[in-house]
Amino acid sequence: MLWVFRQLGLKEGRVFNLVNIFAVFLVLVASMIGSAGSLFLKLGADKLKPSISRIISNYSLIFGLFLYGVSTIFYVTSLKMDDLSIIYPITSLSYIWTAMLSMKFLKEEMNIFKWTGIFFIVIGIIFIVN
Amino acid sequence: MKTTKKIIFLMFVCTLFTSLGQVFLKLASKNFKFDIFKLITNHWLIIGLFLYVIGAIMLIFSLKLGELSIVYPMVSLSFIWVTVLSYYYLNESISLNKVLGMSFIVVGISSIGFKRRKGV
Repeated sequence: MLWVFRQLGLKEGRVFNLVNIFAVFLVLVASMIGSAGSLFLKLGADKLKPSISRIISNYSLIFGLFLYGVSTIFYVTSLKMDDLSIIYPITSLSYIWTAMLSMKFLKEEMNIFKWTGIFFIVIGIIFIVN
Repeated sequence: MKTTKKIIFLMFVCTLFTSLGQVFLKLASKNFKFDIFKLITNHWLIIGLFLYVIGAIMLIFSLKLGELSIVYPMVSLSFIWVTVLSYYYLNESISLNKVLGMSFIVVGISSIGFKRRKGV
């Protein structure tokens, strides 16, 4: 995949541009999967008991951890293609997805501070990606 | 308050671990392949994930013990460490755009942690 992007980029003389866009896309997906993971961890944490058999049969918890693992694969792949100081700040998108998921599925309330926070994070990421 | 100081200290250490973990993950990404043998022998990956997990455990404890309005601003410290660490150890650049973007993100994450005093 990376190779295809490199070839495309080389022909048009902008090798880094296309790779960078793909890296940003990957970390975007990683942050979404990670937030879904947090949602399942939260559901699992509500049923958490200090007993091994309960933990093994706690499907929400296990699925949440699984999603974290998948998200890490996407994340490290994107790190391969771009600077850490650009990719890592983009992970703050996960705060936005988590706020939305909590609002929808956990019935948590939004307030003016959360909306302001989301607004600032989006502006910050626009600056960094540019 | 005593607990507040403890949480701030815990979160300070937590963000250092998380950020160092990120630097190791970046180093690991160069040899990152979907090959079990390569994954197991990728020592940067193992160190990075180890630091990351320790940071995550500290974060969970802080979230359990402390208030969100203290923990979240501290979380955003890790974004500053990562920029500084990648400048020194990964030879990445620091630009005005990065600094501006980072400041917005720090303000944003801190803001998410605040809540209304009366309507709790």
